[in-house]
Amino acid sequence: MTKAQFISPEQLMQYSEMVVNRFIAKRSIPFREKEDVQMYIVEKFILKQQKIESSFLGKSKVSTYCFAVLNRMCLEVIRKEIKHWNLSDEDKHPDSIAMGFNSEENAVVNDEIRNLDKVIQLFFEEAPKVKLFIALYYRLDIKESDINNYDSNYKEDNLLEVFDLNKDINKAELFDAFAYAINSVEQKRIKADAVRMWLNKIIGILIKRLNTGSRAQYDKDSFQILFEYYYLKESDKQMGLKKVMTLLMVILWILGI
Amino acid sequence: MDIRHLTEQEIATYAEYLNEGTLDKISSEEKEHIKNCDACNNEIIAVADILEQMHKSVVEESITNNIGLNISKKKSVINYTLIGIAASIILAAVIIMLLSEKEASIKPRIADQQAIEQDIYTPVIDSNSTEEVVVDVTEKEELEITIPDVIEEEELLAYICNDDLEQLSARYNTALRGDIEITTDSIVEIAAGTPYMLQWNTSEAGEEFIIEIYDNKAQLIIEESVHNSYEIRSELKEGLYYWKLINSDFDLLFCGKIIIR
Repeated sequence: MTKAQFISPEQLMQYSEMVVNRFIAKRSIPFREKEDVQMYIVEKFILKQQKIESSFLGKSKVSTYCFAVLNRMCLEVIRKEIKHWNLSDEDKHPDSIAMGFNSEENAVVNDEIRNLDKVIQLFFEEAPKVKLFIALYYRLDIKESDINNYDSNYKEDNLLEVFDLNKDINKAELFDAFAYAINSVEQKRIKADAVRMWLNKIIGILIKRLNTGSRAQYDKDSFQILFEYYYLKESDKQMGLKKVMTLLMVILWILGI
Repeated sequence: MDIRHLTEQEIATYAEYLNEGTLDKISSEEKEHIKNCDACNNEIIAVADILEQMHKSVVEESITNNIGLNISKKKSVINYTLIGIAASIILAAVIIMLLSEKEASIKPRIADQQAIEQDIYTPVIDSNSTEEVVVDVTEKEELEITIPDVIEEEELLAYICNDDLEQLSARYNTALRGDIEITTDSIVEIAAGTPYMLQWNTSEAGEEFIIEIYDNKAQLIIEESVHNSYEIRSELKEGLYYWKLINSDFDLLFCGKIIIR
């Protein structure tokens, strides 16, 4: 593959700007360093282009691969230069350079929620369990679909009754219920204490991953708020779809179909 | 032992899987590493995030270019579209209902046409006769139907009864009011172009009357002063007509029907 075919100079500039902008939005790179960092990674990409091209196996799109390469280059720059940068509030990303990573309040929350969703998804098969148990832990209104995602036989396993938060139970009883659910569904023999330790570890991992490469420093309280937003937003999406379906059903009923 | 982190190619591939929701394509070994390695985990998320933003920018740009709307109004466009679709369905339903009602209102008029045909073959009752008139249904069935099988819509409309005039003619079926005796049948059928005399007897010779002829749309076609008869003109077109006999005091004495074929 010739140099000209792999990626054009314009595309390289565009991709590098998008990668750098993301780190600026996360406040990992100060805005004043934007041009320097971008030029550095573009030059490094050009110098190593032959090797980069030969390492491309065609298992993803070229653009995605370039993003991964440029992102890793940016991380190296941050590791080297972070001690020299003195990040302050003045380095906050101006709105005009947003390119999707803007600093309007709703957009920031949406970005964080999107990030949280990805972090949870990367627990793979454990993702439904992580989502469900954290929601239960924070006493949120649970969706039956989330219980179903964790255990398709939830009705036979009585999970609706086990996870009934209308009952007035304390944290100890909550973890007892978790242990009962895990033992029924996953055929394990664990105690409530083990579930408590596992859940605390999971929340810790989530907070750490959200905080990596970001100036946002979540603690347990702010993480709880973010998770509630995240869980509620998912419910709203489903409600929106339900509303449209309900409206269509009413129209069809009026028509006598 | 050195931990083998993911290559850039692997990061790119798994980032696409994450956005597509096809993480099950990743092997269990790699999954285990990703779950436990913060660095690889974050790189995958970063690349997936950038991809998502890039697609979002492309979609928003194409919407702005094609529709020329402000990017920030994209969501309200979708909402208004859904409302528009719902409103279109309701409007279509209303139109269908209205069309069905109109069709239903034409059908009884066609049924009336069939009633006219029955009238033709019903014997006229002589009010002076004491004989009991028996309507023979079987005789009717043997009668040859003269109405053509295929009737043009326009011709059919000319024979449709007028409700008000029908009620009036039914009320004056006895053909006797005061000193006037109508000797013509209450329903007369004549061939087009053939003259026909409407006649009545009056006690006073030379008494003046007014005759009015209406078409089936209740439009007055002919109004004339007469004495004791009136000849239907041959130039009347095929169709159903009604005639009224009015005295000099403007009393309605009689209302009959004329069918011209």
